[in-house]
Amino acid sequence: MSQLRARESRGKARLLVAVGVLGGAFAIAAACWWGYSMLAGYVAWQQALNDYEQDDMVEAKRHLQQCVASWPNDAEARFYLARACRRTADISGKEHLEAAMRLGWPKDAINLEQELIEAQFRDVREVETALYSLLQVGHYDEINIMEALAQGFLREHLLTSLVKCAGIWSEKYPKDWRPKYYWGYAYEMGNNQERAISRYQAVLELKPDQLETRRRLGTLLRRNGQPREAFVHLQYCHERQPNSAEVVMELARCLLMLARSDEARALLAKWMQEHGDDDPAALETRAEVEIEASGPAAAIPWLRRAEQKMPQDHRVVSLLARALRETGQKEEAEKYELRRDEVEKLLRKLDDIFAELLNDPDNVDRRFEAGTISMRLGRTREGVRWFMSVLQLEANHPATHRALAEYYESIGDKAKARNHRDTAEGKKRAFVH
Amino acid sequence: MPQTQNIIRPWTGIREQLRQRPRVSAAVVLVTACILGAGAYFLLAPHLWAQYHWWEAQRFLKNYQFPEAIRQFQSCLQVWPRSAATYFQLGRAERRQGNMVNARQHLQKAYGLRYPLEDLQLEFNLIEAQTGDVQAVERKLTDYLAEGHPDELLIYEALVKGYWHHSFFVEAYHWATLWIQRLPKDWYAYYMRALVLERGQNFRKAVDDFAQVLELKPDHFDARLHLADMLVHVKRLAEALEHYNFYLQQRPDSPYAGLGRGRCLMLLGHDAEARSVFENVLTRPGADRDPSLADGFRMYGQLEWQQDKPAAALPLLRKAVALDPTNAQANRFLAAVLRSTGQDAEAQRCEDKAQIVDRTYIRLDQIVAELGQIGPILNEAAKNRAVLLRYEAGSSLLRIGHDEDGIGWLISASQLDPAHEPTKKALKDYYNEKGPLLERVKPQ
Repeated sequence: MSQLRARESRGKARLLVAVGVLGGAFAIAAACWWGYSMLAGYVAWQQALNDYEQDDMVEAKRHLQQCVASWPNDAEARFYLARACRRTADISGKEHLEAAMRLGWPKDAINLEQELIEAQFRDVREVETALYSLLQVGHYDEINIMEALAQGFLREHLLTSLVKCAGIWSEKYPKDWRPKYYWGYAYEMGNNQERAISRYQAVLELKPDQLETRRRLGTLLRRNGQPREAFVHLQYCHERQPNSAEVVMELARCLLMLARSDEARALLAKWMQEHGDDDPAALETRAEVEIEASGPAAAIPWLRRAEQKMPQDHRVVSLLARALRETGQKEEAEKYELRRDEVEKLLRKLDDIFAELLNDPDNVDRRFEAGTISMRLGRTREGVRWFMSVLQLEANHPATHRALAEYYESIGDKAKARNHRDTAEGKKRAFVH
Repeated sequence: MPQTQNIIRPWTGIREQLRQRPRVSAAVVLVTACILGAGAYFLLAPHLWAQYHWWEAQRFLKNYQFPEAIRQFQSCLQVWPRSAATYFQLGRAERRQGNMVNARQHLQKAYGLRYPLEDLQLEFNLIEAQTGDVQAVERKLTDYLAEGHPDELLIYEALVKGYWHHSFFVEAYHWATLWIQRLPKDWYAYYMRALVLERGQNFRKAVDDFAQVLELKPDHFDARLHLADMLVHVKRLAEALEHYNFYLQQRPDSPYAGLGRGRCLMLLGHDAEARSVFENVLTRPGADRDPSLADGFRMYGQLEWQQDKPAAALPLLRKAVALDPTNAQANRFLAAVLRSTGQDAEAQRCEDKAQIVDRTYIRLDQIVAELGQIGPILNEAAKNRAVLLRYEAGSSLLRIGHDEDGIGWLISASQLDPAHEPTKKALKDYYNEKGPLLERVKPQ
């Protein structure tokens, strides 16, 4: 009997030991996992802070996402992730902002971030006064405020407001390249090439590796008849962004202006080989090169292919008219010349509208007209932006909703098309997406 | 010693061995000391050095010596490159020194390094108070004062500087007086109030306040120079001369003090001494290119003219007008000399210029006096009148080429009434002509 009890108790002891060991191992494993996730979160957080300091929002977002994966209930990490999402134009930031609010992040900061989202992505005029009031009394987040305002003004083509905002920003932070970039952009959009060039040059003095600025400056210099200066900037961009279509096209045009058509042809041929020969801009640029290098007959096939993609592009239509005329195809040339004249008329009208809007930015009719003309010219993205800017001012503008319904129908987005049609017919309240 | 004890207490054996080998023990001690010393040098010393500079910076801040404090904080950053507190203090010192661009840079750095937001917010409010729309910020700062903010003295200082910068002399005087009431022994408060009174052309009261500064801080050279200038304005020339002489004993190369002394001597009728002073100051290298010495050339030329030496007076007066075309007295004396040499047309032009400048400054005096009478803006009528006066002051100064002062007055008008169309137009026209920035136009 006693032996049995002894065996039983030994058995129980072994069981207890086994449970204890397992429990201990489990606890250690849990502790290790917790420690690892804390450490991983901490490392990601530190990296994100470094990225914020360097103003590298793409990397900051990536590290913050890692951080939030380890620290899902950290309000600060959520808030900064929401901000990084906004600054990288990622709308998923909204959920992180809501999470930060739930986790108790200060309401003032949340409200400000919501206003910045409104300024940057929706209706800058709605929050312009409130944000400028903050700037007027001083705010530690003034750079973020000015940046969001600038992006909002740019999106809604409020160029005078953009110049003013960039001016204030540049005065407060003269060593910051960003306001000078927005300034230059505003002048470029307003067709003030000289001032745009001067601003872009100021950007490059502060940040020589700002590729977007270099590309824009190169393009402007080329259009301004300064191909040698343009070449320096475009070549710099091409060495660092060899796959950028915009850079390649501009560089090719620049080489053409420098009477280096063989190099231009080789550059385009290489690019088309690597990226396909269907790109409309590449086809048009190739045609330009062929006209100069081999004559109009060689350019026509390229132009016809480009015309299929961009039937209302001014450059394509003009070159085709010229090539057909020079190869003796008079009847067809006349048709294209008429079309070219029509397109030029529309472009001049668009320039006049831009000039009018500088002094009268809230003119709904002009904005609608700009949208309509852009659509007729095949510039659909620009056209949709103009139409959206009309709806910011007048959410129920029927003609705009009809135009948008037509557009969405043409690209197969039936849901959006129906929404706009219903709004145009007064069947539902306006919305802006 | 038994082996067991050696095993248990081996260090005893080592100590015994060392005692028996004094050279070895000395070498061990020396090597240990070297290692510890090197460790202290490389690890601790930089931080101790930075801490010393931090303390020095705090000392300079207490004495309102902002440039020195800035240098100390910059030394700290060499050892502590990621210290949010240092960047914050450096930003604050730059703001108090008036370098807003640097202040913003450093404060943004502190923000990036996660310095407490409340302190940062106050600093940005104080930047706007000092250089921006001081009236818009005043409400917020008044709330801080009502709550008994620990940095209340900084708030007073920023408000005084902001109102003074934008020519709101009544308001600046009000805040400076509150500051003095709060800290009656603070020489800097008296100094700021004296500057406000000087700019508001209340010279007698300015004399009292500058004298008080010297009472509290006898080695304040700038206050002494200002006091001397104010004493000249109120015709207490002998006292002014004493202060200029005292100043020149400490800083003999100061051209401004030299000219002040020369002016006093001239007004006291000691022409020969005055001439000698002017010769000494105005013949130094670079003097003929320094606009701030224009009045010196004028006084020297005036002396020569009064000694009936038009040939000697003419180049001096021409130099004065070249360095400062809007110096009314220089133009007037030049006109007199030109008339005496038969150059009537040029003389007439100089006289016309002098008349315009005189009229502008007489009117400016009247505007300042009227603004003083209006006092704090309590109703719409007072505000409208103040806006008109400030607009008039600004546009008059712009017309005679005093751009910085003129723009300052126009901005002060736009702060009172951002919708005042003539002010908006004047500012827009100025910036369209003179520069690409719409920088100081307040957002609407």
